[in-house]
Amino acid sequence: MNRKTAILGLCAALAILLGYVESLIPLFPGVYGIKLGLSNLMIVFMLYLYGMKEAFLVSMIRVLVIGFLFGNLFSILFSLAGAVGSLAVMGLTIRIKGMGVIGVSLAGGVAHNMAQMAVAIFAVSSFYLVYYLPVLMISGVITGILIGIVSKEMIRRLGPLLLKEKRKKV
Amino acid sequence: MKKKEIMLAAAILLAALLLWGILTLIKPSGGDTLRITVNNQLYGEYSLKEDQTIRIGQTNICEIKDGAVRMVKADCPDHLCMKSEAVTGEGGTIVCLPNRVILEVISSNSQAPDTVAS
Amino acid sequence: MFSRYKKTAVFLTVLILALSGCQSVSSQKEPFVKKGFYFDTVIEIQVNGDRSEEAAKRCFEICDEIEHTFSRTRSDSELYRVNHRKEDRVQVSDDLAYVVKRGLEFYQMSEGKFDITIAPVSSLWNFKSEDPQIPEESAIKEAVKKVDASKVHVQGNTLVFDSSETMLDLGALVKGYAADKLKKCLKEYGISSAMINLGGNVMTLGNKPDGTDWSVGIQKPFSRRNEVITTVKARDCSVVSSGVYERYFEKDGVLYSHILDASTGYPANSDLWQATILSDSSLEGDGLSTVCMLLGYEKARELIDGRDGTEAIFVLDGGQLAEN
Repeated sequence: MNRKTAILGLCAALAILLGYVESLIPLFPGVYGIKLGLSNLMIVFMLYLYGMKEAFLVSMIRVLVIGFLFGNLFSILFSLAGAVGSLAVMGLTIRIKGMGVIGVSLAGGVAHNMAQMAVAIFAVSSFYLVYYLPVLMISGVITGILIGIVSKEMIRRLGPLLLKEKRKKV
Repeated sequence: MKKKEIMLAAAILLAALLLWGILTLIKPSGGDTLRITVNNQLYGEYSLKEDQTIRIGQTNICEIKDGAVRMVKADCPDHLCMKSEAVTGEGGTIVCLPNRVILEVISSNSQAPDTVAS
Repeated sequence: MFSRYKKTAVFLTVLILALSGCQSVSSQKEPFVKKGFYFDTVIEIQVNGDRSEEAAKRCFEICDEIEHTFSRTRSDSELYRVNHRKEDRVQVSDDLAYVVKRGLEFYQMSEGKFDITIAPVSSLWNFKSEDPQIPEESAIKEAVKKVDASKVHVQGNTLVFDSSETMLDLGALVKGYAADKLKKCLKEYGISSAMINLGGNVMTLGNKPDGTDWSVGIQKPFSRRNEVITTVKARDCSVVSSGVYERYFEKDGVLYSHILDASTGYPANSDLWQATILSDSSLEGDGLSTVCMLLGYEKARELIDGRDGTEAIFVLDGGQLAEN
């Protein structure tokens, strides 16, 4: 139990850190909404390591901490929509047989973008933003796959290590 | 990548392309758009075809009706923007100087001049 | 196992970099457009080519400087210092001395109708008010006495005033002067294609990026904003309109416009609705367009005919178009 708490804390901290690191990488300067989604790495990791509940917990901590530290109410709402949307879709995708980490991650990436778009359309009551949706879908697929590849390696290499009650000497 | 993953990625990409195709097909007939900027920042873009009332922050409210834009409410002292003529697809702007709000119609009419001296 | 993903990862990374590369290449071709609020109006600058953003930013700084020099209301402006002078001789900047000098030329040209010392009269007329009133006749007569640009002299960088009551208002020329300065600035940055619109004062530099001439619409008087009466092709050209429709009110069937005749203190009794000047210099266009409005169609035509490189488009009262 203690061990799990520690790991959850560690992962939440990593997710926050990755969120910060991401803000330093100008992937598409000036293009609104396209992000790598580095912190999704930790969420996918949690989803595979433990499950929906734990992934949700880490995700919420990340959104709230980043939001209160750097954002405002609107940006929190915005990230919340993305986080909940992507996690819900990933939770469903993971149940599909034959679907791997990359598939889950890319579904999450696309869902994240679409959920945020929905909030944006609602917030500025401008349907015009819909024209941007295809771009966000495609970028969600690409970044989702990238994050998925890294997540898969992480789960393969780090997963068994963390789940073991006691670490064996190598 | 697994087969199902590739299928998922392909499906989403296809959907995106399809959506993009549909949107570009609709767009020309969408015609003129209203662009709202506040303090030099893009606030939003709206089609002139849809009648609607748009709240611009706390300070102004504008209205699109029958393809024309008017400022219906402003908390500035002189209300010049509310007295301005409605702007239509011919292009043109309504400005609320105190609140730094610009309503600008981007005409889809290619005959429109680059700018207007007045 | 990993190498297979590595290939995919490398491929996708390259793809993203390539995509972002495209983005920046295509955005360079887009004109740089910037809007701002200066001179009591909205200004827009569209600059094409390398260094466009840098050049446009400098333009806005220049606008800020000019506004700082020529504002009649800002207590830290140079003009404010001149108007609240203690002595009759005031040292001023090159900018201010030049615009005053040109202002006095327009005074001569307009038979004393265009006057940069009109402030006492113009402050009586409030065209922005909800319920505008015609000022008292006696007040106007009193104010007109204080208006006399012949009491102002420019000697190098020194303004000499014959009367301590004389106040300068360069609002009618400042946008034109600014447009000229901005054009000069853009040229210094090596810009060969740009369009400046300072609240209706248009100035173009070179051609459009596609090689065609800039097309400038001319506002149709008393019509919706941006409804044009005609369109002119303008390459390296200033297009400035002045018209009664810009600011006016009606009382008992009479139209009172903001174009005030300094010799009477009342709105110009002109047979023109609008005068548009096409010229190299926007300061000239700004001054001449108002002078034309004050002179009326016949005299305005003579004035423009006698000036090389300057063209005018008139709209007569009633709305007919007349080119000279």
